[in-house]
Amino acid sequence: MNNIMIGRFVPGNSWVHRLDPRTKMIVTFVYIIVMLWANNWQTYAWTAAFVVALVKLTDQPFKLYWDGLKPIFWLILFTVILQLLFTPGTPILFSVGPFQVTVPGILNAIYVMVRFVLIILMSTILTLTTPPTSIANALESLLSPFKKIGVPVAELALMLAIALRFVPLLMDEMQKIMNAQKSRGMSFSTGGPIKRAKAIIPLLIPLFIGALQRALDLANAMEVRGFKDAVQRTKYRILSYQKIDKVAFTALIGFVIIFFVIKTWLHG
Amino acid sequence: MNSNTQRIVITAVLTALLIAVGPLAVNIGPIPMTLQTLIIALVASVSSTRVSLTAIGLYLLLGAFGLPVFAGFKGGFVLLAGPTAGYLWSFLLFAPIIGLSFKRWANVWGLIVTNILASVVNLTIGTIWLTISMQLPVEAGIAAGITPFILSSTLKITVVVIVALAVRQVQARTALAF
Repeated sequence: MNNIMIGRFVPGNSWVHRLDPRTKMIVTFVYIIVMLWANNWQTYAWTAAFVVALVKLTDQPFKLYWDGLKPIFWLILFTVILQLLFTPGTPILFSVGPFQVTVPGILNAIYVMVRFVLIILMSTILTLTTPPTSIANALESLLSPFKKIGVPVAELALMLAIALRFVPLLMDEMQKIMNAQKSRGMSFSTGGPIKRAKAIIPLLIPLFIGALQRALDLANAMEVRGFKDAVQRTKYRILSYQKIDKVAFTALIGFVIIFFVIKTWLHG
Repeated sequence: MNSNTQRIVITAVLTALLIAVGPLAVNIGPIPMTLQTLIIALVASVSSTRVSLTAIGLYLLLGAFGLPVFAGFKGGFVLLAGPTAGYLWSFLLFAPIIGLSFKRWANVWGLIVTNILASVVNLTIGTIWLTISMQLPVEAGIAAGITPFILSSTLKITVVVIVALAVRQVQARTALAF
């Protein structure tokens, strides 16, 4: 279980690793929004080329990306099948019971699949090359304009940093509780649905109570060390944009412009 | 003791619980029961609206940026815009709905009724969005979005109520309630 959260970040020194985490988040976001406008194979090909280039730049084995795609495989398949069966139109190729498989249906299914795969690849690039604490820092910096309308951004970022630190602890705790219950004769993998659902009750109660207790201990420890509020905290690592980030933003702008050139040119 | 620090840390730890438990599933038959909805309802049942709303919001935010925190270790902005996005967004409503049973109707019945209400709202919004975004006929939407979840939702609500009652007892004894 631990490996899934932590194994997602792979340290490295590639171009993408060295980018400011804010740059990576902005690129990911703009990319995903732009990609929702893709509507023919030329625009899809261009967006795919951009992701493939980025994947190359991360210097990571493709297997890692495949691992990111695998868990979502069933959702993709489900969506593709729904698209195949429920897209109306002509010509109709053949019928499965009350459903009709049409040519626009097949095209739609392929586009939906490509869109899913590309968006997942893009977010995998972000998490593979950015440690979770940098993500929290970058979020704080990016969301700082919301401070003006009263959103406690510094506080939220602190909560995120603490939460990410607590996740492995809680996972260990969960494993310990499970082992403790098993040693008392508990079984988590036999019996009918009701028995199995019941089995998680003696897992969740100690997990929650233990977590709340730890939270209280941590709050005490923070206050003893002089913590007042999140706003007055200083930072160990200060984010700053470098030359490489300017290159990345230029590439992003180029990507967006060419995307819309392809799109309008094909319509005009 | 400054309660502000406690509130920050408890929100963080509840967020961590969502991240740690949310992606897991229990094998209860042909369709595995995901713990995502369960843990969100549980977090909303043992904390005030303000705390649980922040925790659920942070959880969705992390998921949006691609961390594998959603059911089945999924993540990514696409899930918050895709066909199943309605289920995820409506988790935010768990905070105000179940939160009603935290201070005002703080008894077993309040807990049961608000949890059922939250579950109904979740399935309804999720299914409406599923039906619209996939352009499904209404019957197909209900067959895909509601029917498979009736049994597991009932089980989940039962588990949430039992666990929440036990946790609330400890909270009452140790003044851990936030």
